[in-house]
Amino acid sequence: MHPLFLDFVRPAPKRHPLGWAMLAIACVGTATLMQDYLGIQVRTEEGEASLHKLQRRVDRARNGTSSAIRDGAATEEMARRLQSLGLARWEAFFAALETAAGDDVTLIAVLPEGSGAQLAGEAKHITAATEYLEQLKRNAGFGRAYISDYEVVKDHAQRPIRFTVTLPAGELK
Amino acid sequence: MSLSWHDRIHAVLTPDRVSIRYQPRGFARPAQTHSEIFTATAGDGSSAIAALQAQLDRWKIKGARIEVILSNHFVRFAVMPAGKLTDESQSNKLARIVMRNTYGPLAEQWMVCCEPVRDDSTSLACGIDRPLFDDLIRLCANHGRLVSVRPLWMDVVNRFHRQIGTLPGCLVVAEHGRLTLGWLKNQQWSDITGRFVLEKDAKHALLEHIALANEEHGGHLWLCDLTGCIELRSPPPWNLVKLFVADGTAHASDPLLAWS
Repeated sequence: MHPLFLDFVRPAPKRHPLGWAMLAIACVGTATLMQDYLGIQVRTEEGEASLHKLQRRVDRARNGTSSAIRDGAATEEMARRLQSLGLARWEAFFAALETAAGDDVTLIAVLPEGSGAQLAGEAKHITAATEYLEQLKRNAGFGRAYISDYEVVKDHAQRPIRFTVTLPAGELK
Repeated sequence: MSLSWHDRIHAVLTPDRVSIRYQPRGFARPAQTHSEIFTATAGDGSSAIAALQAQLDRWKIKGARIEVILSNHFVRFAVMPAGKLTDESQSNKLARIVMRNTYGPLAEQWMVCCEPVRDDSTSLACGIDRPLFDDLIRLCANHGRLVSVRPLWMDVVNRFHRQIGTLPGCLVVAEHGRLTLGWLKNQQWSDITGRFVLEKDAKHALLEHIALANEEHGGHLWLCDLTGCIELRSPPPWNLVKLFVADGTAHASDPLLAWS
């Protein structure tokens, strides 16, 4: 049995074809907008990822271990200080540090710290930093290395981690 | 609480009773109800309209949307045959013809409304006295706008039509002093009748109608008892189904408020 509509004042409601047409247009419009929105969202994420990649390259070019030593005087100074630490083959030392760093970690600086050294770096996330530390311990031979400091870079969209690894004095040979 | 921009009045009118629900707009004021039973001086609804007028004056109603539900006392029904009529005016003309054939020349003076005629099933038409409708228009002009005047039968059917489903049978609405019976066959109305009956005789009158129906196989007997007076068990071969109003019982102090 169907519902009744008997009213002496109100006219019977009608389902006008124009109403259905407007509903269909609204549905199509909403679907198109949603598709555009999702497309833009994907493109934005891709753009942010490439921007971050470029940023990392720029950082590496500016501050990386290979370019941090920009001129001869600095090279000599670094060599002298490393030699004072008893690290005669520091090229091999740098190579070991860089090999341990994968795509997710960028080395920023290597600084002497007492009779040891400190590595400053940036990782995409905390797991990458800890993995880097594990690589240093296992493959590079720095068994007593530890992360002495880290912070989240909150003003960056990807929120990377800046960290410092301390290599105690006995590690450098 | 009401999200409407307007105050709303729902009134159920019967010859000897008026039940009104006043829902003010906004969130601040709660709904108010009013039920009044009086001695009807005439069966034309003038007493009920006077009572409604007095209560709206007491509440100082202005600019409200007013919906009126008329007791089946005031409404005559007829079943219109199925047909291929697409125009609303053609449906109205057919309704007038059917009402005249059913009730005689008197029906020409009535306000008539009908469902759109369907080509696959029958539909209903109903009529009320024009003076009653004119009085309602006049009354509401002072307090707001009359947005709906409909028979109680429609509200009963719409509230229970899912429960009734596609089964054959008879829907009965029992009010004080009136029985209205609508017969359903093949998922459509086959007949609808109403009669004046004293409350003490309502049960016997109902059984009499059932017996006269000459339905050998019976069916469902849906009973919406707004009087609370009909104590009935399933009369074989009929299967009695009692339809209860919103508060879970048909014996509430004023069941009509559930419809308002």
